[in-house]
Amino acid sequence: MTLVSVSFLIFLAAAVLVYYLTPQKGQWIVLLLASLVFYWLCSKGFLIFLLLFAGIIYVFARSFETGKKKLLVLLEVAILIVLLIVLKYAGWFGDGFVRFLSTISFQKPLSFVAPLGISYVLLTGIGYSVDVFRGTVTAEKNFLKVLSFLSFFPAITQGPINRFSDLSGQLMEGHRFSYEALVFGIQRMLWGFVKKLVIAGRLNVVMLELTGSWQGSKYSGAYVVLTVAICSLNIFMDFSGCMDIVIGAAEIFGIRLPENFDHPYLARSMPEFWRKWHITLGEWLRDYVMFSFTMSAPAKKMNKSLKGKVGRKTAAALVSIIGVLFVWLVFGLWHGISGTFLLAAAYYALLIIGGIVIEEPVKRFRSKYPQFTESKGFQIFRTVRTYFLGIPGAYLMLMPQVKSGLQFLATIFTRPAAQFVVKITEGEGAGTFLLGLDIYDFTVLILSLILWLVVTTLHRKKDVRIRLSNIHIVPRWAILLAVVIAVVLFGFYGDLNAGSFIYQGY
Amino acid sequence: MKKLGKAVLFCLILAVLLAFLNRILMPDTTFQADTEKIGDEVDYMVVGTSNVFYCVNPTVIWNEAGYTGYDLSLEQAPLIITYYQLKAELKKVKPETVFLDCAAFEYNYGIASMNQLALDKMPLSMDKLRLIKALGEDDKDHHIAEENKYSKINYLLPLHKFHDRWKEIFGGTLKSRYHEKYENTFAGYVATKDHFVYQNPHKWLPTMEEFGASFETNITDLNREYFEKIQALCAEHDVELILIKTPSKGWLLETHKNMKQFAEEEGLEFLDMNEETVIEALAIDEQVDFCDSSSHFNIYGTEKISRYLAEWMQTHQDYADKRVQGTGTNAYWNFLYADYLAFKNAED
Repeated sequence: MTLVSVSFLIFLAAAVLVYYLTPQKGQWIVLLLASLVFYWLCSKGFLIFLLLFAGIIYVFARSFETGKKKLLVLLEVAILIVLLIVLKYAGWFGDGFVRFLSTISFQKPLSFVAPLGISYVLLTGIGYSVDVFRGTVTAEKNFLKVLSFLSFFPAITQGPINRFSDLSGQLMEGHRFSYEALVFGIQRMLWGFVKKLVIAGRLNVVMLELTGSWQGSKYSGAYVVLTVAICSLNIFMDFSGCMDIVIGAAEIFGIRLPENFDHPYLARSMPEFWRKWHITLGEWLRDYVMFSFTMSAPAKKMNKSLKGKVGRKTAAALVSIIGVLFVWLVFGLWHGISGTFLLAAAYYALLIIGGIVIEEPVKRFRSKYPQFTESKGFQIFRTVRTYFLGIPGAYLMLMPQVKSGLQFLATIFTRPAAQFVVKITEGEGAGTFLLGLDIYDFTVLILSLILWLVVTTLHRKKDVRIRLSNIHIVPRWAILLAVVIAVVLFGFYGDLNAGSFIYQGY
Repeated sequence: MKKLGKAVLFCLILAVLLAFLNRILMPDTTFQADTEKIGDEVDYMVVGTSNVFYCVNPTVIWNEAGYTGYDLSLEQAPLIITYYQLKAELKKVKPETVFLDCAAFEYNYGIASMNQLALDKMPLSMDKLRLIKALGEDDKDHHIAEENKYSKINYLLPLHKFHDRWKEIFGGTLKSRYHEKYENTFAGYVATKDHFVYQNPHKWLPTMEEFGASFETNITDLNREYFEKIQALCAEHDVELILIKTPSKGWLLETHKNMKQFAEEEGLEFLDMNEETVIEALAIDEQVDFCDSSSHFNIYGTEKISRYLAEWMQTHQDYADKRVQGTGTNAYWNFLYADYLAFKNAED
């Protein structure tokens, strides 16, 4: 069951119905049961690993109440990471181990994949444990409530990464049925379906066409640049579309989840880009990795010893750079133990470190030429520059192997370009194709991208859903019906494959 | 309450729009017999696969013997589908005999895209849900269930499968590839003048070795189970069940023997038109009578098979010759036969 399947919609409708028919006091139990059933339907016996993770997180968090035990936190993190590696890379430990895991989780060995959302459970769980350790939240005494927080079904597949302090209260307090929450939630989900099924589904086809399904592409030259841009747009539409569905589904239950995207393509610097792209991961890395590192005894010691040698500012910058490297190493490894993710992480780390290095000269330049640096033209330049600096990272993350990905990039200089328009005159696949899409799908892609631009621009100033609710019922219904019909007709589902959600694999 | 009323109205409008889209985008596969016009005077029904809807022409049988009947077969329909189809049909019509196409025994769970054709025609009912569930139950390798994951939803909501056909509005081909294929049909018989010549034809009833392919010739447990259900269904409705196999170059000697033994065990009549005596009587011309290489015949081959079948019915069954009765049914069948002749004699 994926978030864009009919079965998910039926499941969600049933869960919402039972949720609001239950007295508020017991609603969290309904959500917990729904989450466990959802997990079972998606991953069968892997539920046992979810319970195991939750059990470990619960026990350790309770143990922190008796005093600050730093070693215990490290032990917990180590256990969870080892378990994650064992489950995500079971193949490394031999066929027998895979068979064992398959048997206990009622899966066929051939189709063995890591338990659903286990990476997100890990991050959410570590965040909760560290918060308890730091004393910012109190350890929950009821195991089922911890389980409910960790397994909340809309968010378990791809996040956002929730904080106990934000989500737990909302889960436990229960909610009265709100027509507005229902309508707004459905509308948000609908927009997610547009992004994933209508736009990302087609972008995926274009990306695979341009990259030759990563088996050897006939495209080169300027198309490589286009591919890099398409990869970035594809990952954005896919992931932010998923977030719209997740946040919308939670909203129907009266639960507000944190946003994960905030117009990242309008960012004017790389740090700002990362405050707008996968926001909850960025904040998690900042609070639990960067903060833990900079506040650690070794980092403080290093800062102190460097101060005398290179000065206060440079010492702080050097410690920050080491922290950034550490953060991006965690970022790369969390996505997967692969050269492509490490390369992407190194690329982003390099950009951020570059920013730190040139921070002082830039400040001086700004103060010297304030009129120029604050002009609209310069701000646009910064946005465009950040966009072009940011997009190769997405490409690096999506390429299956470092070698083939870089070889493809190199063709920009080595081979002539393929045709933008390809005409096939004979056979079942006859037709005119633009970047792998037939003329109809290509038109839908362009129109839907224009629609996305319009809606996004409008939404920046005021929530589009509020705008919609303020207009007359006839045009409002006409717009909503048109969007639903557009998703039904133009969506990549059924026999058309929109591809799995990219972030579901991490 | 007012808001809830609005929400219900919105959902209703949406449902109507989706139903409309479902209707215009679902392929047109209405090639089956018009049972309302045929009425309830039905002597026989032929159920199974394309092997029979390309090989049994009810209008020729009418012209030869005055017997009424029709084909209720679908492309590559497995016995599971045949069972549920027959179950629904026998609620409306009571024929004297059901001829069950033995080619259906070659399929287990069928092919999703072909099964879809059968499911699309069935109105929503408990039996349809049972059929969808049955198609999802799997062989031991689970290959088909995986392929059917999408199909289960497709079977219930055809728009889920066919939504992408909006493009065909622009191409003018919305009526589907099936429409052209099934353009000339007569009481469920799909007539074609297509012509296929075998370059190196096998002999009739070749052995597996001679045929040069390896596949299962025994009756599977699944097919046995659904055959028994069909048998029980026919017994319940007091309808005689006869096994039939139309001429086919892919029908092996081993399969023939297994089926013959099976029919004897079940005490059933088995008419295998691949046996030497029948093939001689049919006088099939391999240069003229086939329409493709899949055991399907064009109108010339089918006429031979249908005439033989009419003669076989005259000697083995007690159907009344309705040509002499002069009823309303009679007029319809005469019209249908004339229609067929018009197609046959029309210049291409």
